[in-house]
Amino acid sequence: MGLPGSQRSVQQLVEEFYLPLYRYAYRLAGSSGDAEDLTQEAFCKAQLQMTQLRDPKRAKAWLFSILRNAYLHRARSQRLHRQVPLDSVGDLPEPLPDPLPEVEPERLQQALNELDEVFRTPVILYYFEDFSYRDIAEQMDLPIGTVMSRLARAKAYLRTRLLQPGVEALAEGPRRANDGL
Amino acid sequence: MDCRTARLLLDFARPLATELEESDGEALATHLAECPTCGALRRTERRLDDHLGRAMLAVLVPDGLRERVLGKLAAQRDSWYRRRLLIWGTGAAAAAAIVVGLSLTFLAHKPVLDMVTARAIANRPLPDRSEEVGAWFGDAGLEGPPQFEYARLTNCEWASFQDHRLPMLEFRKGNEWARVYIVTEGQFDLKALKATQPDASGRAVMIDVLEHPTKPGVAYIVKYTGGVLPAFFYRDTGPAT
Repeated sequence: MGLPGSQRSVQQLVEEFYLPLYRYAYRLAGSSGDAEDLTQEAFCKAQLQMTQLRDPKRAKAWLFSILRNAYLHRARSQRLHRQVPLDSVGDLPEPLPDPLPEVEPERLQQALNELDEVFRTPVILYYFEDFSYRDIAEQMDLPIGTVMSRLARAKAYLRTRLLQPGVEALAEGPRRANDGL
Repeated sequence: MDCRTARLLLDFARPLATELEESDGEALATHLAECPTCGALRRTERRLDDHLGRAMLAVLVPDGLRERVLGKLAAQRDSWYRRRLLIWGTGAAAAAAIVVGLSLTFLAHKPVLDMVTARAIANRPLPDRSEEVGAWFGDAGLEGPPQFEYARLTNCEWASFQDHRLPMLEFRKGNEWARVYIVTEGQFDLKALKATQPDASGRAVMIDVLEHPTKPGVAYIVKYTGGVLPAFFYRDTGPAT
């Protein structure tokens, strides 16, 4: 494999995207060590595959896609996460508490870890805000309708889990990736 | 716009990643401003999204991450160039080995002596070089002995003889040779030369003196082997073999 990425162009990518890429990696993997490894791996792969980036405006989506693939490669061999069925997710109580309860970082990450990756990825990308549904669908190679459906379920799970007092994890043990769909 | 359409479009009207056409966005905004139910739903959704979005992005980034990433990339580049250098070096060494091998093979391959060709070359008649000799002596106003077979001429040079430079012609026939020194009346006393010409009998190397048939002031001192001077002549003996 060649090294077509010039030092300057790769360095520009690092300067611009290492922070969001690390945050995405952290939310996907759930630990700072794995997040840093994934971030470095993504940039190294990007350096080797630089010719595949034809439109510089797509650099962020391209890097996120590389990182997700690297994560999936690891996750397939490790199978560490427990996933919850999302059938049991209910609606939020009305009215919402005011003010909304503080979201503790550990609880948020724990809730994300409980989600299957096919739900976790769209909800993380959604909250990074500048990814459109179309971007998320392209990254996951899914129809937009499927993305929106999974996103709605994941958002509902997080809201219930994090904003509803007294609700703990719905996880029941190791699950298949398509449980609850 | 009715409430059902508005709720379908709400998902696509995100502040930083709106996917609505401008006209749809304006129609939705109008509806949300006029419809208290949809407006409240919109505000609730935004409130929840903002709250979770802030939490989602609140990730502490470890110190020195940027430098470690750049260091890793630099190490990968160095490693890549070292591997490439190794590959190129190996390729160049292999190419050089092939060139050397081919050269040695070529040098070691000696052609077989083709005796048929060699015989044909030996039998090929030699060219008449009398014009070449005439041109060589032209500046000095000299000419070689006209009776000699110039196809047997092997050498033509100036020789030093008693403080004079004399043109010398060398002829060969088989193992025998004849050297002809051209002398003129201005250089030597030709009459005396004739008087002292050596006896040609019984010696391995003989010397004879020839006169030019038409130019009285030119003579030739001939030193030859084989015992018979006319063997080198053309006109007296016919074409040489």
